[in-house]
Amino acid sequence: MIFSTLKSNLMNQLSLINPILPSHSAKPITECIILVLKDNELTITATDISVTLVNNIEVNGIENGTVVVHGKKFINIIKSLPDIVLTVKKENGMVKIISNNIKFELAVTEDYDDFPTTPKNLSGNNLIIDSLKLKNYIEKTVFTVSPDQLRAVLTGVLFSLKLNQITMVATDSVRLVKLEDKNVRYEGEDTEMILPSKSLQIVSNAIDRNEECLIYFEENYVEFRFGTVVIFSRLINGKYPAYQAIIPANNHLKAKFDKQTAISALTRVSLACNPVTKLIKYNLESGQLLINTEDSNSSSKAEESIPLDYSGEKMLIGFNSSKIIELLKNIDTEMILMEINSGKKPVIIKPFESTESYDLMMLLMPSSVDNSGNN
Amino acid sequence: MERAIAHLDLDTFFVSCERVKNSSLYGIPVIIGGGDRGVVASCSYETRFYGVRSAMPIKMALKLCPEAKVIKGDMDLYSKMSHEVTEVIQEKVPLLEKASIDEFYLDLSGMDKFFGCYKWSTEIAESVTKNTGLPISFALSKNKTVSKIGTGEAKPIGRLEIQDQNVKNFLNPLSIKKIPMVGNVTFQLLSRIGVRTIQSLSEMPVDVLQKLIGKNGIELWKKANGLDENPVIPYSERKSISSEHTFTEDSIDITAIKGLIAGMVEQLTFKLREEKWLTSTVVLKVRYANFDTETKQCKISYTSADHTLLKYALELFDKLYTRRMRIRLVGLKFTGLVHGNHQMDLFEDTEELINLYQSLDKIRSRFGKYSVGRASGYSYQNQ
Repeated sequence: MIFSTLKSNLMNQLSLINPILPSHSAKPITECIILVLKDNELTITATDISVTLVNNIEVNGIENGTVVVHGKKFINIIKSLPDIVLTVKKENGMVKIISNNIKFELAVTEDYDDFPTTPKNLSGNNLIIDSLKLKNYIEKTVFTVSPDQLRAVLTGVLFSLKLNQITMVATDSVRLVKLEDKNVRYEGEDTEMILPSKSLQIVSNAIDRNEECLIYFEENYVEFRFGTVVIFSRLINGKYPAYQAIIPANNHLKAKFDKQTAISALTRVSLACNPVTKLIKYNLESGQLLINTEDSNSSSKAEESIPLDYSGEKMLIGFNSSKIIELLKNIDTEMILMEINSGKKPVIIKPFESTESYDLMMLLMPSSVDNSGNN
Repeated sequence: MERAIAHLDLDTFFVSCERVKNSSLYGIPVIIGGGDRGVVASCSYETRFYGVRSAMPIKMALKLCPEAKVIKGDMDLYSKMSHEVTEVIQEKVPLLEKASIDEFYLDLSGMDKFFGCYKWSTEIAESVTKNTGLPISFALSKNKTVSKIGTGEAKPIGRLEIQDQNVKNFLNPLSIKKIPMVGNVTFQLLSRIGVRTIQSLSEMPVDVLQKLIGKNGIELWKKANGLDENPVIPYSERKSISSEHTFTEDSIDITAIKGLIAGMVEQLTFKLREEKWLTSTVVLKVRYANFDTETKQCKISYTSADHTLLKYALELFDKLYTRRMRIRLVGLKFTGLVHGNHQMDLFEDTEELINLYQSLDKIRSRFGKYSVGRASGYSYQNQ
């Protein structure tokens, strides 16, 4: 195999692959990548078994062939080269990377057969969505997934598909994000699948311009196709919790506030909160929201009040400050609407008068607060 | 500067507590310990005369001293009394370390000039006895080790001051067993080479001792020479709460054991919530009939909710209990504690459940901790 190309051309594509490569793997072969050259098309494949990324790029092909090399090493070498034309060739069991007066040699991994087989192209059911939309939706949901491996289904994002409609749900069992877009192209049956968050992050990372993204799926697999990239991932098995049941229908107290003011106030006040529970208290009354916190361990306290559009009864609710800040940051409108029932029931947080193409709804479970004012 | 460290130790603490509660126990042999298969947790001086020692099986103790009255321990009473004693001492002492339920170290360095450390310690001991009715012994010397050995010699109701120049004379004739670090194994190891008194231990070359018993050798040699720089560490925060149960007869009744675990979870979570703790680690311990002990733990997000912790505890039990062997002991521990408020869970905590716990806790704090509970945990409460 021999090909030559500009360094930046190759590096752009390799950088998509970097996050997939495991640093230490039980299967050393997954630390490798496969380069396949056919005429002027170079196909790069990397996998960590649960997710596989295949990328085609145009190069100046000289001699067709296949080579398996250690991924991280190869990428680091390419990264270090100046941005001029480089040549990669396989010769006597070594990969040679030559760029002007620089020459690298890297051992070729011979056991090509051990490389987990690249997926067959799925077909059939598919969903079509703009790639930049998809990237945005992933970013708005994936931050909420749970890190708890004991509840594997919560480590992924639920994709629920209906006719021309997609609903994405993510939760860590303290907060929940639901995003709905009724303007996608989907004509299959109603279906639900849970996508691993790592795979979604890799998809989001690989999207850099707007093009059509096709999502194919089967019982245990999903495949994303856009541009020159194909990403193939396992789905998480299991049943997603009945999230509809916990979305409160009668949160009658409505409060409206400015997002940026709230985020800065929360960030400031949270400096004084208990570093583990991160409890901050929301005191709602008509016209103002008083955010305060107290940490008895370090004897620190803080409070700040911000304007609030609210006319209900006086309320006290406790929240985990970092969880609420993260939620607010992922809302695009300037004003935020909060719908409350009581200090012990989930609170709905959503954008106020959104003009976006999707509906976004967030749920946050309060922390219990004792009214005595301690902690 | 020379330090002045006092070690206070409540004499036959559990027995003394029972005697405060029930004065008819004064002067008669008393053994505290649980059940037929239990061991002696504490015994009065009357029984020690017959050779009864703590940690001896109750059955053996009763053979030695048949007339002894056996009382099942009441840990709640003891911790309450211990707390009272702590308060009495704390009121007067600047630097106090509570080493166990019935032992205290006081750092009195620099006070000699003003009060006279010995006189001062005597006053503290007297005020403990006066306020709580519990007999207490103490010894005063230049460090923790010497004081602790001193208290052992002073008991019961003893007072002892070991001045710097007398430390060697005091330690030398004593058996090496008196050094807190020396257990049975070390004792046998050393007596086999003829080292039985602290004097001969202190005269051994350090490197030989280190070769013989490992890295603790230096520490032990220092102690034998009356050297100990360990500071008195003031009151330390609670790090875990736990509960253990030894079955009267080894059991293989899984349903009953799970019920027992449920009962433990309930009691411990009540305590957590009462003291406003959240836990992040659940540890389960199982001891099989052959004394093989296994533990398993899991890390969870901070909580104090019964049903969450119960789920993890039972999950751990299922993972841990793999041998078809009878079980002797089950223990449950919550560690990684932090003060704080419960973060409710979207899927598991409903308002009804939160209200239920609050009501249960109210009933328990008013009518006692066993007044209400899960049916499955009922057997535990009757133990």
